[in-house]
Amino acid sequence: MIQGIGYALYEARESDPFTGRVLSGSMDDYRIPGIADTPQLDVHFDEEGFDHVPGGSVGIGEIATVPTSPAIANAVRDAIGVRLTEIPLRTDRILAAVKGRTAA
Amino acid sequence: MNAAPMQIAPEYRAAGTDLSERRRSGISSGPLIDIAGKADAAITWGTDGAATIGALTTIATIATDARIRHAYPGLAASAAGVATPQIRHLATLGGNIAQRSRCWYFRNPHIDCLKKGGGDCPARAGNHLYGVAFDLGPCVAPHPSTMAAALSAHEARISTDRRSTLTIETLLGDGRDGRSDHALEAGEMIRQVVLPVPLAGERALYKRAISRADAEWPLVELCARAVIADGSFTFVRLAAGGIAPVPLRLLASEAALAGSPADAATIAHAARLAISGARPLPMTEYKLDLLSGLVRDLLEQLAV
Repeated sequence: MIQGIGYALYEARESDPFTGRVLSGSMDDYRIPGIADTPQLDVHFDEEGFDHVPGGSVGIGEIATVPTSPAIANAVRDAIGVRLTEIPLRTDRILAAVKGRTAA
Repeated sequence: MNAAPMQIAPEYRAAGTDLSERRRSGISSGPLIDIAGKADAAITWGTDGAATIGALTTIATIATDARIRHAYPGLAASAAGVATPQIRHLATLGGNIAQRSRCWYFRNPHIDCLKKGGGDCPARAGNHLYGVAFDLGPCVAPHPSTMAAALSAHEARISTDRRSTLTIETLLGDGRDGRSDHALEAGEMIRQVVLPVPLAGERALYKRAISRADAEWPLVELCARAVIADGSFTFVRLAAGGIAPVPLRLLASEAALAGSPADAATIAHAARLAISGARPLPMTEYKLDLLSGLVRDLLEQLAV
């Protein structure tokens, strides 16, 4: 879920539009959430089990990561009244959406 | 590149918090001179109550020193906003003032740019999401020093081993060069920062607009100082970082505030004037909203 917060708010591979060179090449520039960006998380386990799944193999990572970003995007929509359709939900994109501008 | 090897001036290493990264990436490859433990790391106080801060004083010391916090609350708050506790514990005031650019293109060892002896700024036509919104020179990277902006708001004077009483504006230039992050001569070392006598009744705040809760380079940052007497602003200094190639004094806002009532209308007017003279790049218009918002936010808090 914390990874999902990063997916929604921070993670982006930035590159130069002409050469394609990756610009966000360090952990300083490729942002992920810090501990202060992480809210209290409530984790629920499905106690019914997964014995009914053919082969018995069950994914766990994506199930928690993927829906986190639409949940945050919905919260932003609820807060500002405009729906963003691109992640990460960057400061410049939110300001542009609020002001009716086209974001970079 | 020239056929003859370039004469590379030695770089000073104080705490090395940023230099280590540039050594690893190869951006910095010339000789080093270690100065940790050699230059001045003390805070001294004059009989007039003004402080002189040695260049090797740590950012954490400036953030937490009780007398600095009392006499120069804006400077202490700015220091507390820098980086992470680990960095602040080691990083020095002089190192922060002489901090190198955070620009992606400058930091990428495979890309040439003005600050690495190249002929132009590839970020200008390229990806400048975190670039300047006051386009004052050929390089579009904002100046990276939080402390330089705070010292600009304090009209501090800097002494080096060769010159004294330099303003931040003299030390860092006006942004029109683009090839350097400062106007220090080759081998010149920052030694001391001399602060003015503290003002009676001063209140000051610092805030950085960032997308994480902590530990992020500012999109825009502001150090705001004010004295309010009989319901009016009698003294205001505003200096912004992250938005121009040099720390930016918001002179139009300051002029509008001086002598005006400390009310919502005055503050709204000053917030609008904060972006006077701005020339945003295609990707940086958002920074003007952030700057205007920071001015409004901090002035409202100061006027309470």
